[in-house]
Amino acid sequence: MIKRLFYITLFGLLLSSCEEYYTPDLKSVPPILVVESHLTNDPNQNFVNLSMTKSFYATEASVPVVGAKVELIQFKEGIIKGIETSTGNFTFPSTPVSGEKYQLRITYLKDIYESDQVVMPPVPEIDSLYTKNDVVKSYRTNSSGPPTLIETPGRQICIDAPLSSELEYYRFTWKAVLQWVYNPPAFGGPPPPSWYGWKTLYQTGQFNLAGPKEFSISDKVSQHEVFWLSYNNQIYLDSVQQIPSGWIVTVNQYGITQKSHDFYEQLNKQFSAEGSLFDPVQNQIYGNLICKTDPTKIVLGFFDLNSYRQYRYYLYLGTGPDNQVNQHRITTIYEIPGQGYEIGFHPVFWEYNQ
Amino acid sequence: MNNKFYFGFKKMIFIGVVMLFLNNPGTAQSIQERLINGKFQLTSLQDFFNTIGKEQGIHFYYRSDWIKPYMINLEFIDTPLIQVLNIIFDRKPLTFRFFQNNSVAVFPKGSDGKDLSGSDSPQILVIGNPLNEGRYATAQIKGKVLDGKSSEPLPGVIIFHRQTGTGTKTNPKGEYTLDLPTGDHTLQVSMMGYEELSQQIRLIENGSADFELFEESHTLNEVTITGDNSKASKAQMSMIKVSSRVIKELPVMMGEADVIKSIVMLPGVQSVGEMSSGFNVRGGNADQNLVLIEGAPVFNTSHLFGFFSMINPDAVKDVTLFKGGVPASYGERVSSIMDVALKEGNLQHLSIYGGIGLINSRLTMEGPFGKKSKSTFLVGGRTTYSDWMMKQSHNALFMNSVAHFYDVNATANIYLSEKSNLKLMGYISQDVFNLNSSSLYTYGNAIASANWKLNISKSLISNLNLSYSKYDFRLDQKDVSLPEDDYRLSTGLEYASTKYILSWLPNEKHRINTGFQVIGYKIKPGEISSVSEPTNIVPEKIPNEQSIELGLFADDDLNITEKTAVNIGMRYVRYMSMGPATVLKYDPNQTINSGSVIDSTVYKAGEVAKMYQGLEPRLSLKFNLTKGGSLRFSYQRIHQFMNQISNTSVISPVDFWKSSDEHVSPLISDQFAVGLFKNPLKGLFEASVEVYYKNLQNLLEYKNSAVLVMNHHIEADLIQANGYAYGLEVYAKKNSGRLNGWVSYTYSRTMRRTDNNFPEEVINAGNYYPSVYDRPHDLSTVMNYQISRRWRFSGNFVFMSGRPITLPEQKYDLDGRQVVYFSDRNKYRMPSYNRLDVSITLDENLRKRRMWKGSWTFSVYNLYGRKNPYSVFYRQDPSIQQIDRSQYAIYKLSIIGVPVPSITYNFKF
Repeated sequence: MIKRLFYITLFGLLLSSCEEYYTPDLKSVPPILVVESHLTNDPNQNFVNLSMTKSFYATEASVPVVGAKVELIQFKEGIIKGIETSTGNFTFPSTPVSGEKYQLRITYLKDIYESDQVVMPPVPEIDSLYTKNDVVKSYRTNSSGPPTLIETPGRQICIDAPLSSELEYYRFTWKAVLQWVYNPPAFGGPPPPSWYGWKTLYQTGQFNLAGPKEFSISDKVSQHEVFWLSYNNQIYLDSVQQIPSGWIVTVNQYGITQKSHDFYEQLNKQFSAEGSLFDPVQNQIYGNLICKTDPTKIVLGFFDLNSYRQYRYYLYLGTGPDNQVNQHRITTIYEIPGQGYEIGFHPVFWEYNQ
Repeated sequence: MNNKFYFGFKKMIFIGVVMLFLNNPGTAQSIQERLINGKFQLTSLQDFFNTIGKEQGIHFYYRSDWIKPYMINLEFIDTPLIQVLNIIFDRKPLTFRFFQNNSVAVFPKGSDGKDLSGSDSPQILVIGNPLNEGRYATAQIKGKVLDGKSSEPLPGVIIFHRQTGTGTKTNPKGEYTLDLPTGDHTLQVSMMGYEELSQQIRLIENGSADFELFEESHTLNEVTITGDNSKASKAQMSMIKVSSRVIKELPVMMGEADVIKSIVMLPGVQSVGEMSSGFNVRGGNADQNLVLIEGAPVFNTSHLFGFFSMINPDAVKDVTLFKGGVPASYGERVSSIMDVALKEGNLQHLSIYGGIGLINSRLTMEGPFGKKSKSTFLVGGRTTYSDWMMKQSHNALFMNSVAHFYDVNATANIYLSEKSNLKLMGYISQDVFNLNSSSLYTYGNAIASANWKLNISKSLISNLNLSYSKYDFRLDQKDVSLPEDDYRLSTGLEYASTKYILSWLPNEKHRINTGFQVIGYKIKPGEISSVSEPTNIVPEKIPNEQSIELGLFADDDLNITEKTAVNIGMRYVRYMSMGPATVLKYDPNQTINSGSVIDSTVYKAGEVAKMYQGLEPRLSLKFNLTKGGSLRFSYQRIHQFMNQISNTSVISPVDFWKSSDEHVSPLISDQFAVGLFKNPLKGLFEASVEVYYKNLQNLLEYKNSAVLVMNHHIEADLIQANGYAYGLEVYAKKNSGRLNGWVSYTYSRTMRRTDNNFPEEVINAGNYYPSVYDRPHDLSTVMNYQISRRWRFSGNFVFMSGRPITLPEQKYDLDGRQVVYFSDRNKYRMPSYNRLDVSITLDENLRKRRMWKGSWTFSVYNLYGRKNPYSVFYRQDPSIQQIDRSQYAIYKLSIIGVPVPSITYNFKF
């Protein structure tokens, strides 16, 4: 009896903590200008978007930013004027150059907003991209009984990258395209043509950042984990009749400044708040822009000047840690839609397990 | 013939013989009036009878096994034998009869056929020489009330004479004085937590009578909260004293008694949440409380993330909390002084007691050093099996976590002479925890103190306290993929103090204290070291901070008139931040940061880098009102030179300490308080109303995104703020009776403001904002009800306004993710907190002399399972993550969202 009481009490306590949605009444406050800038040496990633904040519970779109003027001040060459492609969205006719200093200036409703002066970092390089065996552990809990440990074997996609005084911080994004083949059954006649399809996994959640580790003197980023893929590719597909046929992995590497790294790290902290015992008091996330005409006016966002390089690899992981991983670099870069299939022939971007 | 029958038969024969003697009427009364003299210390009853028998030619008849368990520790000076025997057999299951004018028969109560109840009801106590009966109209009784088990004096005991309605209360030494008409009376001696004694007395002339109260299972609960204390002045206010019994009897989570969680049930004291061991007094931060154990400070008061406080409740004698009116002999922290007195140890015999709970167990042993020693000791310890429990849980977070602790405390009370006493105390603890991560946290306290008290003369008392306290924190950070990057972060603090107080008591109405205190601090703000070989880690250390604080103090406590008492004091403090240190000079026209350094000064070891000094006036006034009760006023100023650096609302072990220096000015608090105090119905009730106002200068706040750990120039991330707090505290308590307990209500506000020149150093545009400890309404009720002689019910109810919080008010998109913009600091408030806890206790067996005594407590914490919010935060919503990765939501976390039952077994032998 006492033993039973003990367990009831124990589990009662351990399971008693709980989280639930909370919808407090929030006061209405005026919207704030937000600057999302993404300026790189890639002409396709060279834009500034202006928007306004909206109330936390709002479901409608935010108020558009109409009539704004955006300029990129290059200290050697002069001013590059932003071209408004749609309301509040600007692109630039030329890309920033590594080692040059830039500043963003926005004029909106008689106010002038300016960013810090930022030096364009050198174009980054990956030392190597490789995979390593990694078992991801998770727990499945049902209403009775203890949580069951679920171990999913797979491979961690890692990179090594150099650190130098000019470039110490990186941000990574990725996407992984899983190729699959479907061989429809032959009903008496000749075999129908195979289907060659693909499905894309995207990065979600926190920003993937790398830089010198705390208190470490290492001159490179080592074994930095970019993402993880399961050996069991079937879990990513819709049908067991789809036969996995390797991954096309795209890793985008951005060389970023320390301030940019710190900004994204603050965003990550905001995304990962757990309400734990020792969570820090919430901080506002301010970027590197201010309102020159009225310093009390708040502007959000960040003038982000990044150098950029893309890497694309083919990976065939096999079915377990004992299998040899087949990996090769892809030099011809095709645009790959999110998902689809071709019947009877391979898509142009198809990679083979050589 | 079996043994049982044999012994029963022998007993009957013996009683028959005694009865035979008793039925033979006495021939004279002189045997009762024979005067007894002598000091009998730790003397067995048998030895006492032999001694008296030889001296007086009296024969004592008894069976040795009846009197074997009893010892006496009494002194008689010309005391009539009847009075001596009354005192000896009071509250014992034995009684006596005189016969043949030279004999005394001692036998169990009820054996003579005249007292068949078998109860412990005492006999009539004769005070004075029966020869003098009728000579005096009135007489004065003086004496002591002692704990029947430990023989320790009991302060605050009410001695009440129902017939005349007069009564009195024992002083801190357990002494009382009562004037009554001569004749037969019944005195009621009562104190919560002890069995009420109804004692018949025959008062003949001035004399003494000591009473013993027994901490019995069928007793009422003691709630010793008194405004009278030896450390306190006659005009003292804003002081709370809680005995260990109150601490143990409050229903608490998992049945674990806790000093700090008991304190928060009192007016003006709050806590941040369920799992926080720190406490907030009158709106102050937790680091503004000086927690002293036998004079030595504690720098981290929590075990197991705040589940328990680090003080073993079994070792605690009482806890005194000064919220205001702090005597001049205390300083260091601006909000409160919590002085924990540990038990001295049982002088009479060795005793062992402890408890077995669901999370931890504890064991304490106390007793004299030797058979006739006047020196005593106490050793206790606690440990936990929470690791094992977590492994059994159904929660993956707990299954992969580590959390355990231990603590050991010891005191030795060394009798040096009649006038001199030395009390030594030692304490060590260690906590280890890891919450499902690769970070292992370890921290511990090591505390020691020595208190030497010397009564130089009747009016001059000397008190010397030496204390030492050390707190160490360590974080072992593992990197699973790259062991070369494993490192250890360690921080810590060392404190050493010498404090001397000389008290002069020219008369009962006047006391003057003078003294000094010298404190040395050494802070290790942070050090990084490698823990693997080969390593990528570069050792790094933030230079230690060392400082000295001096205090000179004097106060005068006197009764100006019959109705007016005053305590006036002054403390002079001088603080020196010492070298070796490199002090940076920043451009006064810029905010402090690494880019605004314009110069630096290097100080060698022993050089004073920065000095602060100030006077701290203290004043307490008490006016007795004509209709009973008193009106009191107090003012105090205190400087605080040590701050805990933390940007969390709850104190965490990671938080480290920072001493005042060139850039961090000392925190200064001025507090005024006025209160009305009454004890209606001759002390059966206590009631008080207090109003206070506190002004605070140089509070520490943090810049946005402040980096606190391993920051070589922490001043660049700190902001100094000012603030104020005010409040109304109402308190009513019923001291005794089957139903007893208290109600306290506090209305308080605590606000802050940053008044700086640079935008980075301003919070909420320089406007006042509520501190995180601002909880305007706070209601606590504690109720105890004695159902029967062994069953006791306790309950407490708490209601508090929600804690201020900062919430996301606006949102925007950035790189496909939703980001939020928060409101002004602490603009919103969490939902209110309320909770009902109940417990029922089956107390130990009523037989006082039973060796092994055990009690069971069944309690339910949070009876109606309210999901009280612990924190409110913003996080990605996992349920809609797959659909739209940008969706986030506000969550409310409740730590204890269900009723938590528990069972605890306490024992002693």
